[in-house]
Amino acid sequence: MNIIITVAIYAVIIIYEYFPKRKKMQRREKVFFFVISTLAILSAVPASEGMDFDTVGSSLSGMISLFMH
Amino acid sequence: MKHTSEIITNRQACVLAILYQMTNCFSALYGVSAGRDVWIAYIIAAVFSVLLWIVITAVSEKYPNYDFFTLLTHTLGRPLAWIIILLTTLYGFLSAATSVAEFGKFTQLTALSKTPQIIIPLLLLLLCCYALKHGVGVLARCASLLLPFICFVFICFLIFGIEFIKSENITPVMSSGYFPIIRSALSIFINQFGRTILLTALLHNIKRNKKGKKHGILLGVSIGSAAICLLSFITVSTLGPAETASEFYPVFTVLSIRNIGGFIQHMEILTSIASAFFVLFRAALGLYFVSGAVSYLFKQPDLRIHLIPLSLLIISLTQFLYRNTMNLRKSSEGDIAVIITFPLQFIIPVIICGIAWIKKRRMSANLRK
Repeated sequence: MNIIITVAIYAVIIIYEYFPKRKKMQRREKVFFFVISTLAILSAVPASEGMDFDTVGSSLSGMISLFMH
Repeated sequence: MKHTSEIITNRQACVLAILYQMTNCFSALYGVSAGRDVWIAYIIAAVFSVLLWIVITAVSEKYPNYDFFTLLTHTLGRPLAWIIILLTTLYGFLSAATSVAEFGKFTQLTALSKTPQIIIPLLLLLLCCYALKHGVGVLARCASLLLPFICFVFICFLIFGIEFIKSENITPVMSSGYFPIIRSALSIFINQFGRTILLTALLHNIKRNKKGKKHGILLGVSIGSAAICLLSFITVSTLGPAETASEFYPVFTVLSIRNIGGFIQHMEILTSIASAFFVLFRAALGLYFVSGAVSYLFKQPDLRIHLIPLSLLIISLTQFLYRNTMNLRKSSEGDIAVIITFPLQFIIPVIICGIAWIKKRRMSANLRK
């Protein structure tokens, strides 16, 4: 679960960065951006070990139940 | 020709250098193995740092149109310069990641214990990217705006700490000889002062003053060094050598016993805010160096495009460093770290500046002939 959330966060940030600029970028820049982005996303997999997103989930569910009341 | 948002004045460069150098100085104290003489080790490391910047500033004034990477290529030739830039880039990565990891761990231990580890580095580095995309000028103006607050915190730390200073904590001076102090000074240099080598990426952005000088960073490094030396002196003279060595964040412990009556009950809250600002500037300028170096190495026209992926790589690196912060501190002060980092931070830049200086003199002599 942690891996999926971390990779998703990275992917969203990279996509948000890439799409508005893709028409202005040269071919060389696009290739380089793709290479570093791939590296970054791959590095997210081992980096996500030991993270605890469950506490965030429980806090969010607590908040939602509070609002429901 | 640089865009106006990329150009900074000498004063702004000075402020950036102060904030960059003072990162983590309100929490950690390095080189505590020197015991009660740690403040002397800090002074020695600070002198090294100022000497380094005197040399770099002098050479950069001889080559006004060259940035740091072009100067390296001009001096050493392309293959050797490429290797050194690559090594410095890797060091820049590690430096930015270590600073963010230390701050993140500090925040996690003191306040945000249930927040996932990635959140603080992620928010911090995204903010750095946002600032850098608008140019270093924006970052410099932000630094100028924050400096009065930092000065206020620092002055409070000094004035309200005088009553806790005990002279018996720092005497007798140099009782254990010179070697522990020199060894400690090396640890302090590589962890606190030597990291200013990454500020060389800013040299090309500084606007010359009326006398044609670019001494902003040198001045900032000198002021920052003096401030850090004072902090170390007050910390060790308040806590004593044994407690300073046993605490993981000794400066923070010293801060926790200060208050200004009902006006400011806990100084450590203010210093935590100041630390967040410090680490923001260190991470941003580290990222700027890395991005500039990567753009130069791989011939990319715009360094801003790669800021986000590079910062994500730094975030991943902080997660690896997080796993064992206690060992991180030990290994960052160990013999291997000194052997690898000191040449990169001090010896190689001084040699490069020396070669550049000689080349310039020869060129001038040839022109005269």
